[in-house]
Amino acid sequence: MRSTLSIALAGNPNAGKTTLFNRLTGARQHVGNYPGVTVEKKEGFLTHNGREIKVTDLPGTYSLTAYSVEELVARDFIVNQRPDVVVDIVDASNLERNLYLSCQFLELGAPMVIALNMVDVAENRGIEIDADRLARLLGVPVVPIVARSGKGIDKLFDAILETAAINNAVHPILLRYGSDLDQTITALLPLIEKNKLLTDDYPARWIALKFLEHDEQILEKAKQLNPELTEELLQNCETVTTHLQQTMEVYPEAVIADHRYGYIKSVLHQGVIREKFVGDRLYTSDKIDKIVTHRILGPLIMAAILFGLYTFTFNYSTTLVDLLASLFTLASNSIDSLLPDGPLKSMIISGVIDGMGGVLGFVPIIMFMFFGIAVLEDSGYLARVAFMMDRIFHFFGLHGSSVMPFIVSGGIAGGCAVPGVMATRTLRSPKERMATLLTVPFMNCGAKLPVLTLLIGAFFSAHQARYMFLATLAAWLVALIAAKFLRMTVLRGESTPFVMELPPYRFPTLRGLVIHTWERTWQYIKKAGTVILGISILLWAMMTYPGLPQDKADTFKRQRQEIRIQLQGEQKINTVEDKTTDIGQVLHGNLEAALVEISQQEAQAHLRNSFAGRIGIALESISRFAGFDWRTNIALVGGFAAKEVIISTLGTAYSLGDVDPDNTSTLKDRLTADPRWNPVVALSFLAFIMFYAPCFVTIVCIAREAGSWKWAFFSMAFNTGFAFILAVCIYQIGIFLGLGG
Amino acid sequence: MTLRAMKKGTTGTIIQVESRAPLYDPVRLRLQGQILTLHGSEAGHIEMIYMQEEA
Repeated sequence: MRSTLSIALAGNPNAGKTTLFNRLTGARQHVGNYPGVTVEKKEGFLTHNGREIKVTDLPGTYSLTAYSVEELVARDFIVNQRPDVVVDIVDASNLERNLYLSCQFLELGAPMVIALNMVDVAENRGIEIDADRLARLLGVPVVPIVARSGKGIDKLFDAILETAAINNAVHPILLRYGSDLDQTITALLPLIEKNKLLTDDYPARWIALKFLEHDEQILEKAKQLNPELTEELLQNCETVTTHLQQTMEVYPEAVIADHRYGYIKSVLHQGVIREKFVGDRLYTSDKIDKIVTHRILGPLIMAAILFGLYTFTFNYSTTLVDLLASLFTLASNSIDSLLPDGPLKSMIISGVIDGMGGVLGFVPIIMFMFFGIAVLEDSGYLARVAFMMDRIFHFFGLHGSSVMPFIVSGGIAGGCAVPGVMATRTLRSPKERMATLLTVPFMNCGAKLPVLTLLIGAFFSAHQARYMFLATLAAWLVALIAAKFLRMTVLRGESTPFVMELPPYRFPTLRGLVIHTWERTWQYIKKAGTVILGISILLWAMMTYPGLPQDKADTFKRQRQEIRIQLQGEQKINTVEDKTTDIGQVLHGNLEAALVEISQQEAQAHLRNSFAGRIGIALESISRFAGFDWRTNIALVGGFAAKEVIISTLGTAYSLGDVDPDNTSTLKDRLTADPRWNPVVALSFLAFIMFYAPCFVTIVCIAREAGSWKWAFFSMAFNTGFAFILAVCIYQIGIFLGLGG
Repeated sequence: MTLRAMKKGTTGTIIQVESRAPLYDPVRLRLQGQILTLHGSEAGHIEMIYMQEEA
C-alpha cells in the first residue's frame, strides 16, 4: 500500500466535482496541465484519520469514449496512474444520466466509490434515493453527500479508505449488449486474450467493446502493437456493424449505449429511486431562465449584468488601487533617501519599483474583475450568455462555444489570452477553432486593462466606466469581423453543430469564489513577478545604456554648475542684506527652474541616446502617422514581450532623469501634462494597444495550439497591420477635425 | 449526430423542446433532466415521435 492514498474525483460536468475538490483541499491545491495537452490538472492534499490523501480533480466528462480530449485525459489517468480509488461524483437529481459514467467505471474495473451529491436538491424535487440498495445492486459503496455544505464527507472518506484497503478484489462488471454484439464480443475475446492485446492496461472485454465503438485511441494503440490482429478484429466488428445497419439502422455504439441505459434503468427500478411528483415540474432554475433568457428581457439583463460587472470592478477597487500606489511611492522615496545616486539606485527605482508597481498596482482591479467572473461562472449564468450569443457567433463563422475562449481572453475585460487560446481546444472544428484562436487576442485581457485604465483615466476621466465599456464592445466587434474575414478567406469551411449543457442555477459558494479568484489573480501576479520583472530590468538597461557621450555629459554638468554658482551668489546677497526682495524671489525661482530644465534636457538626451531610444527613433518615421513619438514606440516594442510592460516602460521612460524628489506626479499626470499627448493621440494609442500583436507568451501558445509557427507569425503580422491602419485613421481623422486639443 | 458524443441515450429518450434563444437559435431541449442547446437546423436531425400533450 502506498503511504499517500491517491484518489481521483470524476463525474459529469456540473455534478459538483469542483465544489467537492475545493472543500476537500482548500488552499492546498496546485493547478497545472496534463502532459501534452492543455486540459487543466488540479491536485490537492488532505488528511483523513491520520492518512494523507492526494486528490486529483479529473475533467468533467459524460463518458469514457475517445470523443473529447477531456474524456481521454480522464480515462488515461485512471488507466495509467491507477489511483487507489475513483470517487465518482453523481448528481442525485439526475441519477440516471450520471450513472452512465459510473457504469463505464464499473466495466473498466476501477476501484470506485459513488458520492451521491446534491441529495438536498433531489429531496426538494421530491426524489428519494435508497443509497444502500443502490450500493448493493452496483457492488460499490454509495455515500449521500452535499458538497456545498460538507454533509456526508466524513462518511465518504471512511468508504474511500475501506475501498482502498480492498482494491485488489475489484472485478469489472459484465453487461450484456444483445445477441448480435455479445456473439461478436465472445468471438473477439479469445483473440485479444491469447495475443495479450493491451490487456496489461485494460480488461479484455473492455477492449472488445472499444473496438465495437470504433475508439480511435484504442485502435491506434492496437495497430501499433499488432496490426494484423487489429485488422482481423476490425473485420469482425465490420460484419456486425453492417448487420445492425441493415436490420435496425443503428451503429454498435448506439446499441451499447441503449444497453447501458437499460442496465441503469433496471437497477433504478428495483426500489432505488422514488419520485413524489409525477409529471413535469417547473424548477426554480427554469423559472429564472424564463426571465433571463427571455427574447427581449434576456439581452437587456445580459447587458446590464456585464455593465454592472464593470461598475463593481472600477468603483469598489479604487481604495485598494490607491493604497497600493502609495505603498510603491513610499518604497521609491525610501530607496531614494537610503541609497546614493548611481546605477543601482536607478535600477531599483526605475527598473524594479516603477516596473513592478505599474503592474502590481492593478492587482485589485484584476481581483475584483475575476471575482465578478467567478460569480457569473459558478452561478451558471455564463453558459446562458453563450446560449444567447450563439446566433451572433454562428453568423461570424464561429461556434457558440467560442464565447468561452473570448470571455476567458477578456471578452469581459480582465481575462488573459493565454488560457483563452488554450480554451479553444473545446472546439472540434479545426477551422472554427483556428478562427477563434486567431481572434481571441483582440479581447481586452487583464494586461491591457491597466493601460486602458491609465489612458482613459488620463484623457477621458469624466466617463471612465462608459469608455471602458465601449472599449470592450469595440474589442468584440473587431474580433468578430476579423473572424468573419478569416472564415471567408484563409479559413473557409462548414460550421459544426452546437451542443452545450445549461447547468441549473446555483448559489456560488464563497469558498469556491475565493479559490477561483485567487487562482487567477495569483497567475497574474506570478507572471508579473517573473517575466515582467526580468523584462522591466532589461528595458531599464536598454533605456539607460550606453549613456551620454562624455562631452555632452560635461556640457550639461558645466551648465548646471554655472546656475548653481549664480544661485549661491544670489543667496549670499539675500543673507548679507537680511531680506528677500520680490525681484530676488523671482530670480531665485527662475534659476531653480533653469536647473530643473537642464536636468530634464539631460534625461531626455540620455534616453534618446539609449538602445531603446534609438529603436524608438528609428520607428518614429512610420509611427508618427499614428501620432506616436519615440518614447511611445519604446513602450509598444516592450508590449510585444508582455502587455503589462507598456505601463512599466512608460513609467520608466517618464521617470528616468527625474531629479526632483518632491515631484510625485503619477504617470497619468505626466502624460496629460506632456504637450505631445492629447485625446486624439490617446485614442489612437488605445486602438493600437487593443489590437496589435499578442504578447510572446500568447504567440507561443498559438504556435503550439495551431501546430505551426506559420499561424503565430500570421497572428503577429495580421494584428499589427490592422492595428496600425486603425490607429493612423483615428489620428489623421482626429487631427483633420481639429480634435487634437 | 453530436448528441452521440454526450451519450444522452438513444431510442426511447423523451426530448422536450422548451424554448429558443432570444435570436431564435439555438433551441433549448430537455432530456433526462438536463438542459441542452442545439442549433435549430441540427435539432432537425433527431428522429422523434411526437407525444400527445396532456390537457
